[in-house]
Amino acid sequence: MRPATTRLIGLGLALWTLGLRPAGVVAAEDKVDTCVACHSALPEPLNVPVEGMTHDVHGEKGLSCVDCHGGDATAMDETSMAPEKGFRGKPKRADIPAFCGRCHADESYMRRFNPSLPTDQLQQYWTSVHGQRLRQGDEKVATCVNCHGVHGILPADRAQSRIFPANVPDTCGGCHSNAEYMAGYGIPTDQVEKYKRSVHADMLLVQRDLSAPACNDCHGNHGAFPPGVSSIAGVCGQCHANNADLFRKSPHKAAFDRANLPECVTCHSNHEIHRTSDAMLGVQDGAVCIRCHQAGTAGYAGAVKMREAIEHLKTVMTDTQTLLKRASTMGMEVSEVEYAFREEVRPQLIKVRTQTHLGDPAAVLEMVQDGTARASASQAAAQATIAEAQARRRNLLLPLGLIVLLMILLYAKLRQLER
Amino acid sequence: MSSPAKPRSGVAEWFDARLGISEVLAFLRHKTVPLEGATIWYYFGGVSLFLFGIQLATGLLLLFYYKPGADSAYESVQFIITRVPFGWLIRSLHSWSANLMVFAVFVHMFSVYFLKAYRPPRELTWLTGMGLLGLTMTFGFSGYLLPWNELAFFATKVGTDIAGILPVIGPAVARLLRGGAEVSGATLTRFFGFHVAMLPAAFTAVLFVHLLLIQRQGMSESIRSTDTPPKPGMPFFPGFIMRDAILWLGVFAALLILCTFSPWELGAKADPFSSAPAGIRPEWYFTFVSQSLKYLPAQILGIDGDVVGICVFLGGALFLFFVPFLDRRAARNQPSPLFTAIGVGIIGFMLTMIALAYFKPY
Repeated sequence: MRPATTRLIGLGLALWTLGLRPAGVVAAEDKVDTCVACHSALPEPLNVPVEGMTHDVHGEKGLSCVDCHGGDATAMDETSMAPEKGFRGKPKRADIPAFCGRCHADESYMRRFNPSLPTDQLQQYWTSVHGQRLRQGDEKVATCVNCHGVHGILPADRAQSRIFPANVPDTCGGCHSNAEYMAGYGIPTDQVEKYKRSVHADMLLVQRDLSAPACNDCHGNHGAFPPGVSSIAGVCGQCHANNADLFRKSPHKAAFDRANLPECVTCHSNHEIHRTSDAMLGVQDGAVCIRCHQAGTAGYAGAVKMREAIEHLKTVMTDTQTLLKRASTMGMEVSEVEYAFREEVRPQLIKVRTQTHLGDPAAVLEMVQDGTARASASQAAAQATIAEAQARRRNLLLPLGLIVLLMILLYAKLRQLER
Repeated sequence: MSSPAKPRSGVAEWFDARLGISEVLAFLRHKTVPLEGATIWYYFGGVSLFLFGIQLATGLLLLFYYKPGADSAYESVQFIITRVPFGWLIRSLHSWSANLMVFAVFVHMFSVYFLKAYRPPRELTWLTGMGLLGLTMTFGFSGYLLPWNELAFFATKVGTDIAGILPVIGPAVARLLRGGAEVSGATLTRFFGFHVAMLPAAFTAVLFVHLLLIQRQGMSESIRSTDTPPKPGMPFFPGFIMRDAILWLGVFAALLILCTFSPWELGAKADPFSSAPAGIRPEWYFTFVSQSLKYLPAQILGIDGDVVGICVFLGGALFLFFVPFLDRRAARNQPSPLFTAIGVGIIGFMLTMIALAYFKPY
């Protein structure tokens, strides 16, 4: 069946349906949205927008088809879609950003619905690789609808939304993981696959920590751009501020710049960032330091010193925990010492690990000494508690002996009385 | 047998003239305790009394430092067991002796039950004893919450929920116990009031009547045929009371060993906003109720399963309370094997449920 015929049949069906309404409803017919009335009676794909708008943030805010597509939703005939009534129809792909931006870049208009929503998305989009390529005529690149959907758009804080943090990797991967679609762009298509093996994905997708980064947290949202060598530390430093700050002050900064090495990525990788461990530090197999520092150099010796210092602190901490556990097993109340250990010693180990980014063994050693001193205080408290428990057990012998003696004397007296 | 009276000092004479001690001693010397195969069970009443004495003494000492309140209770108990000299011992003695007391009271109750000592004329002794058992369990329930730790908080939540199941009065009882819709600092302060003022006063009054009745009526002899002549009894003083003292000393030694080698834990502070940790259960002597309720279906004959369960337990408690008036054979000094079998059934049920609560709670 030809599309024009289909439309006419659908329109006829819709009008017939309206005509059959009970008398009581006729008064409300002025408010009937004729776009919805007709399109809901049409076959796919013409009826799809109607269903989509039932769970769309625009529909929730009271917007209807004409707010985006123009036209007259009160007209019962095809004049509803007449250009003279402002009908814009379905935008061409290259026009989509401007089509959405008509409202989303209009601050005064957007304030009526959501004053906190930014209105610079369109401006940012034109700075992105996507926007720049679209302007150059590449219609394969992402526009608003590729990330947000068409009808059925939901805000980012809803779990069903395509841009909900945990859904973002798959939304981006819809294009970027498609080797066939991405052919010709000269960029890898395994980023999402690698990301899903990373510590960030573990936090976001497995542990459902929505503060963990998805693609857009590093690459930007509307202004999406691959971070260059010089900007990577800035990207990572958004969250890992202390590490980035220490790195900037370290001798590594100048050395990396000279060698044109990306800062964080050189040691930690980019998309496939594994959970860090102390095994990265030092000169053994798997350590990242020996990728650059040769044996006999100061850097090599520094890596050894820093790793040894951290291992020393860990040993002291393990010993302290063993003592605390022993005291607890003996039934002693050590929660205050455990609290001090948890709040003062454990954070010190985290600080020491962060301090390695300064690349200064002396600074690491100083922090390790501080941590060791704190751990030793907890250790002394645990030892004192164990000593007290042992003293209690020793001291019990005296009252127990007296009680047994008294029992014997009483028994002897009883025997004497009953003889 | 008792030795001839020795000449007494002036001080003893002085007190005797005013208090009539020699008359009391003469009464006690003539008072006898039946000497039968089941004599060992006669000591559990005395052990319960001794443990109640320890509860009083240690409870009073704990009052010096304990501060009721959601913000201070846990901290004050922590202070008692870590800073106060011998505070750890006093607190552990209080907790351990409370549990041993509940155990001793149960053993005492069941021994009296199986010896049918509730039969006339000792019905009132039985009724006051059942009152003391109820008060002991209420002491345990109210005292458990006072350290305001995590386990106690959620166990009290479960306990007051169970009280809320009672037909008609349940919701009002739960609200009265909690001092609100939920277990909170208000619950703690009123449990403290129950534990240190109302319950001790009630317990002391009922205990006084219980002991008075025992002194008036003496200890019950077991049911035997009228052809069998009674065995000569043991003099209450010094024979029975000295044996009691030896046993009390033994119990005290056991308490000291328990307190030293397994001090009563404090646990983590209660956090009303956290979710209940796994393995929450009430004190062991309430687990036979909570565990049984878990096995009941949601509905029994159209009535809520928990309501049916609680009604059955109430019925069981009423049966035990009124058993002197139900066991007509024992009243006629005849063996009553049906009541013995019911008692064995109750003990078997309680022990099974307690064991399941600890070894297979789900």
